[in-house]
Amino acid sequence: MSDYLWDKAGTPDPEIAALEQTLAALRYQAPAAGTAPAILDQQQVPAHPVFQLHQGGRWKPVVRRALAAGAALAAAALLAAVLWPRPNSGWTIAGGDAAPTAIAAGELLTAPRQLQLNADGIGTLTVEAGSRIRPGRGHQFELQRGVVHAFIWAPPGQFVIDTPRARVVDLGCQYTLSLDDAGNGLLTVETGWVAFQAGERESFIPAGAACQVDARRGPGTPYRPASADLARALLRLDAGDTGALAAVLDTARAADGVTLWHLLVRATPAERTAIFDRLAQLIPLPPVRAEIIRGEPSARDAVWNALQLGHTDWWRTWKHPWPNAQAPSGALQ
Amino acid sequence: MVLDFGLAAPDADAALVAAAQAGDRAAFGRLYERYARMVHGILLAHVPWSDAEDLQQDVFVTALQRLGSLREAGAFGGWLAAIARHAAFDRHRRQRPTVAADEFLPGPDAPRLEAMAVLAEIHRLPEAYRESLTLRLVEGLTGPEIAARVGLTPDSVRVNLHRGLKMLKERLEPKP
Repeated sequence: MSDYLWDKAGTPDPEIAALEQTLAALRYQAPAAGTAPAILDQQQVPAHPVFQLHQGGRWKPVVRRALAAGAALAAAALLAAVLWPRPNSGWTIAGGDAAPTAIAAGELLTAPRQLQLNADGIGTLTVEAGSRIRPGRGHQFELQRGVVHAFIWAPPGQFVIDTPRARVVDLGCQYTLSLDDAGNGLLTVETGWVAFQAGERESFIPAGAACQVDARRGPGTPYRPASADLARALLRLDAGDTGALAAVLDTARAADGVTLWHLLVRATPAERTAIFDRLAQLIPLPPVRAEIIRGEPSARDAVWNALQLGHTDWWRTWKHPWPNAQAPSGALQ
Repeated sequence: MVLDFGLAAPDADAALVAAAQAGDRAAFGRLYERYARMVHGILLAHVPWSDAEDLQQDVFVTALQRLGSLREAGAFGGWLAAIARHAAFDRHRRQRPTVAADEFLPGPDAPRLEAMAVLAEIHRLPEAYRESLTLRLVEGLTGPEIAARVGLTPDSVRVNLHRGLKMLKERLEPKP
């Protein structure tokens, strides 16, 4: 037997090396926290594929002045606030060989380099250089810009990151959140589940899926990045191009059931018909077509359960029932 | 986060397991880092790549929930491997008959498609050989690491690798 096959000793066997090289495409991908690209600097968020989607969303000068005035008031309030001692957030900054540094609740951190934040019994948060983040009480963070990687072992629902337009609720256990200065960003989930919320609009993102957040519209529709054609069509749909729905349905596969379920919840009755019919072609569904078209929550539960992503009863142990809001005309935005 | 893919030290595992059983979630996080690649390799031996990505987190969530029932802390690796196999077999049982074969294609990614074709051949090998091959050829563990992680004897892993690779090569050879 080749020593190389056993312990990689000696000269690599060419056939084995070729197999290794081929199969490396399927290898476990470790969390990117330690090797994440430094896409941020202190001045601005450079071009990132996600952020490029939102370059047209510049604010008008009057809005900028109003925001500047608001920011000045906020800064004054912040200055006053620092005169009083703040409670501990429960989080510390890892100091390598030095003792960890406690972080006060409400303290705004601008990471000069990659920082590792820890909380006993909750998890770790890796904050990339240039990110601005503020811990609050009860393991609730506010991310203003930048990139953070969360690795959370707390029970579902305890760890939260707020962005200007949406709230990210950890359902266990590992994800990356990127955010530009305007509040546009991307959430990618490596393990577990994450809920992305903005008012009545919610997205539930499973491991291996991603979801954009738009500064104006809130969380987008979850998708699997591996489904490239569907993802492209979905970006158009989330941006308000309702004509892209046909392309989304054409390119959807059984693995994209979670995407179609979210569209069902957000669609108009007419759109629900097409979405339900496509989903029924991909996976076995209960006979609830008429109820889905009417927008009945119990039918949505039944379809969700058919996705085999966990029974709705489990979800309700941490969460309220599905939102019962009727989609407005021209929905799917 | 720096992942430790080196040879797992049973004593270190036992200390981490004991700490995790006492409620130290950071210790469980360390176990996750140590064993993520092993779990992924075992899953890949039994299910398509896309399913392995999904099941990975299920395995660790199950392990976390059942950690209190693990009596021998040093046997964590073998115990976790059993959970991973059970998750894979359970996925097979629940596989939907109407799922199209191309569900498992991850998109227009030629290198990954080629790798999945090789993985499909590994799936056709006898079960005993699959895990050793995926852990060695996909995840990059050495034979001694596989034995230490999964709880097999080095001789068993050596035989599995040797016979499994021979059969895989025969399957991958162009047919006349």
